[in-house]
Amino acid sequence: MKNLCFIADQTCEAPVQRQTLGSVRLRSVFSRSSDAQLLGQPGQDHFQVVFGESGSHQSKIAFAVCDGVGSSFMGDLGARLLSKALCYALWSILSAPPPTKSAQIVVGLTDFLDKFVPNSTRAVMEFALPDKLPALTRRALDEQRAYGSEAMFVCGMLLNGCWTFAWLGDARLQILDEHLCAVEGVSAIPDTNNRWSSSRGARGVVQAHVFRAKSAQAIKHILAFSDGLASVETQLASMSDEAINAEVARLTLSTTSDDISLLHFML
Amino acid sequence: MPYIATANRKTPALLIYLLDCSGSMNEPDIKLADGSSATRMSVALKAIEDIIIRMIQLSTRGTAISPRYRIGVFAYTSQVIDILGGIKSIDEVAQLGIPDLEAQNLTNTEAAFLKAEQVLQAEIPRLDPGSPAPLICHMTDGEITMGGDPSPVAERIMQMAVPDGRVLIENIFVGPSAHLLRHPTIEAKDWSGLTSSDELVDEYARRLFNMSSPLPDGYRTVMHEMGYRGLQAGARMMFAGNDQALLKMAFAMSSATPTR
Repeated sequence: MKNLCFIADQTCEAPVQRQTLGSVRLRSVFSRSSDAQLLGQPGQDHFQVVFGESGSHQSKIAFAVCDGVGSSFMGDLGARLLSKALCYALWSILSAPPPTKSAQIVVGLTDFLDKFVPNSTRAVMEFALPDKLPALTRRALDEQRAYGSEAMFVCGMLLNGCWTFAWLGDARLQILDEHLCAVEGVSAIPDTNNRWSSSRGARGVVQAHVFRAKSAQAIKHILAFSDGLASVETQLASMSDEAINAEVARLTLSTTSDDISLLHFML
Repeated sequence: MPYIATANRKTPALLIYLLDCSGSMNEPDIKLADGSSATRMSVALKAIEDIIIRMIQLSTRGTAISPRYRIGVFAYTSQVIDILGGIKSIDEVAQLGIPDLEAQNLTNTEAAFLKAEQVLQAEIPRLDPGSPAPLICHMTDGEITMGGDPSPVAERIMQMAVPDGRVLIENIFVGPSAHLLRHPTIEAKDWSGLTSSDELVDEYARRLFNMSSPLPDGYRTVMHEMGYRGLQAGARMMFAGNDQALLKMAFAMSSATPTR
């Protein structure tokens, strides 16, 4: 079976879209902030989902939702680089052998992000700015470039019936049972001080949790999303597609709206 | 007064810079980090450029700039010169750049504050009610040599208000801090700020102190985030010194309107 990959398009809005990944249903949303839409700029969130089969012919999923830091260099670039890197790490490196303890993920992912620094630094340094930028704007962006691009993330993987999650910074994760109550074990506290940096790797301690096959059976909903949806996070799981679209449209009307990205896995 | 309104496209922060361009601004007595020295004017211009860069960085979405700040720059000697040609949004300032200023002879501070009052009278009625309180950032290097006492004008300005709070005035004295302070500033990052006029040496310094607004908590928080962790609650928006780091800190405060 060939792997399937769903990637957010940062240049446009995508109302709720549904996919079927084996026995897992996925709905996703992507919307840029009102500022980004008005200025014709890409959104600074990004997500990626990879779906295929494991060696034992069970569903295998890796996903990442990343929220680029606006005050860093081209937050959209950081989010895009990171979500692709995280999916690659989960799919190709951290799944062999499959992790059984959260500490394995914390160490493995932190190590991967450290080793990714040369690549991410090069991508940031090589990012071409438009030729006709005003001198002050170019200097402002070049100063940010020297500092690096940053993003916060939440990512996860389904492998052999086990779910593994990791996160850093203010990216949101909900793991709910059939009654839409939080499944015990995961405590993802948003922290805006922690983030990934293209020039320094993980800034702060990566958090992780592994649900082995038995405990993972209680999981019926996984919601990974950016803080643009923070104001409705307690209702998200139960909202219809239409209600989510309406809420995204309402939020985007505000001049202070943030980028929005959501992955909702229904098991 | 809360001073909690954030600067964004709908409610941009209005910042007015009043820059003393008297002849003494050509004094080469500002200490640089490498031990050399430069003129007051050149260091002040560099500090202004740095803070414009910071405002651009806080306003960028990709390579575009959201008009999160509106800025006026007025240089004064015997008369007041509108450097930008009116109040410009930060994206327009990015296009215009920061022009060189030439130091001349006299210092008419009252005229500069009268100009600021005039601009505020025109601008405040047009501001969105959710806008941050406007801020005037006044930089000077010494005694007034022309015109009257600016204090009454500054007092009137500090009584002007928007729902977020009264108009803020920040004063930056560029020159040897011993001319104004009993205990000259040593290290900008650790400086606690001026909380009492007892810390000042003469009437001119006390006048600047009284023309300086108390530092709002929201600004203090942003300054702490920028690394200036020494500033105490109750400090005035007043700086004095001939050290480049202190000048950088002083102008950084003018961009400390909360953005989130």
